[in-house]
Amino acid sequence: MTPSVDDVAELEPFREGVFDLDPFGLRGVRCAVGHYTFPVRTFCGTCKSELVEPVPLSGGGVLHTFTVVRQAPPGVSVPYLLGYVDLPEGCRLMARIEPRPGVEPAIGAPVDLVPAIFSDGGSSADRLGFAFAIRNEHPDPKERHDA
Amino acid sequence: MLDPAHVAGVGMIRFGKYPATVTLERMAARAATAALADAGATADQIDAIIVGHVFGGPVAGQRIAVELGLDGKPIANVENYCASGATAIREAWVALSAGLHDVVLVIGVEKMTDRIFGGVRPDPNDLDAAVGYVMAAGHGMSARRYMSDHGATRAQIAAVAVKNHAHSVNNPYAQYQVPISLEQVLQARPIAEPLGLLDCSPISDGAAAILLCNRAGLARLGVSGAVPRVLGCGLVSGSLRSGDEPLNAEDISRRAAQEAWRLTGVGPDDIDLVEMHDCFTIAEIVRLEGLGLVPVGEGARWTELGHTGIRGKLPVNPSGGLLSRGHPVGATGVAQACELTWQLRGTASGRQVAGARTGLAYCKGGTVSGTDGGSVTTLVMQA
Repeated sequence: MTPSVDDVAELEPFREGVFDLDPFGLRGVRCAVGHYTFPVRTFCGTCKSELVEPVPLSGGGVLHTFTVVRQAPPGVSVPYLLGYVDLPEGCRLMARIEPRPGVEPAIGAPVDLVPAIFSDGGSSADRLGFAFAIRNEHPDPKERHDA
Repeated sequence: MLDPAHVAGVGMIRFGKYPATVTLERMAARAATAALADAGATADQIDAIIVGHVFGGPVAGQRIAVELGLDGKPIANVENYCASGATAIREAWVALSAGLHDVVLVIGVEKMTDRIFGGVRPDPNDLDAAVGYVMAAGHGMSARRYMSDHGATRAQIAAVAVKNHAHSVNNPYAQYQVPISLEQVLQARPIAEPLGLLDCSPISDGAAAILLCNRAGLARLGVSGAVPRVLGCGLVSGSLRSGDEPLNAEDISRRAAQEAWRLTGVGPDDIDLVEMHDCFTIAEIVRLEGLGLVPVGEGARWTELGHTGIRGKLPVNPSGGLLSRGHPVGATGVAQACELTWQLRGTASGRQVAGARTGLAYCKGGTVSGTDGGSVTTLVMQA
């Protein structure tokens, strides 16, 4: 299951500057023209302008495409879903996709940013990372109660 | 325009799985010796050695050169992931054209089966690698989006593997020399859905070598008569992409094609055959489209219709490609040049493309998060 931020707050982020913790969200930059770039760079990824300011990015996006990875090098447990997510700001980024039981992943599916544990199978400590979870558009009242 | 480099000789060993006792140095020396024999040349006639490899460790080229009695010569090791061998050829072409050297031995080599397991991935520092990217996953995502955008079928994509395996039945250097059926590809164990095991090039060992000369070098070696030439080799790197373009836009391939035409004066209509970097089935399709050799969205259908077969209107991978010849990553670009040489000489026997005069070899190496690739080379050779 998706951990809450409180569950994972003691973990070190897998990399500096990729996301903020409170509230949990990805960080990017916006240039004067209005292009958004992820991750944070010192310039705009689209127009290369150096006049950029840091901004929080949307927590929701759309699944552009995905795959189920069933074979990977040692230290990576399979299977897992990997996808490209389009953010409304115009960024496309790669991320783990957390499946939702009973919902087939599909191109165009809405997804939401969630904290995730990045593990290499135990050779180094678990780290705090991010993933996108397939949104439950038709929540089951029982599931809502459990949550 | 730079002068072309002339091919004095080529040689390779059969790609496949060799025991750990068959070392990288041994494989490379065997391929180099075959290229020298093909050229009728001796080691002392070589000015410099350029070696493409990824996993060979520090100064692999110098370790190989010592095996060949080429110690003391200028040696460069070139790493551009799966385009390492092709980039080494480009560096040799530039050095020959500049007159820095007259005879250059280029070797591509990789020993993978004792050190690479479960597939290749980007450097761990890459952001995509940190979230779980492996090369197969990128192509699985590409295939799913291609099918959705263009109405292509899974079977049309699988047809690339069937075709390339059929070609390498006649390639004695190929790792696999038996045909496979469409059903076998579709039923194979899934690796990165929708792609399965037979949509993926294998983890291979192998080496290939090419002896390149400028005019002075040809005279030194006593080569007379026409030999195939490297007209030039484009090289581009991935550029940062915005999120509003198609995933399979293949702008990197489009730019690499432009470089090839600009450097050589050859155009897309001149290309008689292509050695394409089909590390995965879908990659052959989208890269041909990116180069402008196949209309966008038509590549899967072209494959199904046989247009990219040896007797089709655009023969692609008569060697069997990476899918069937095998893919020892640093060796692949040089193996493609060997194949083009044999095709342009008209000595490719059962896999010969009729009337082959001008060929293109494409390599793509590595990925960088946020961009459309690592490196792409476009090698143009002519009879």
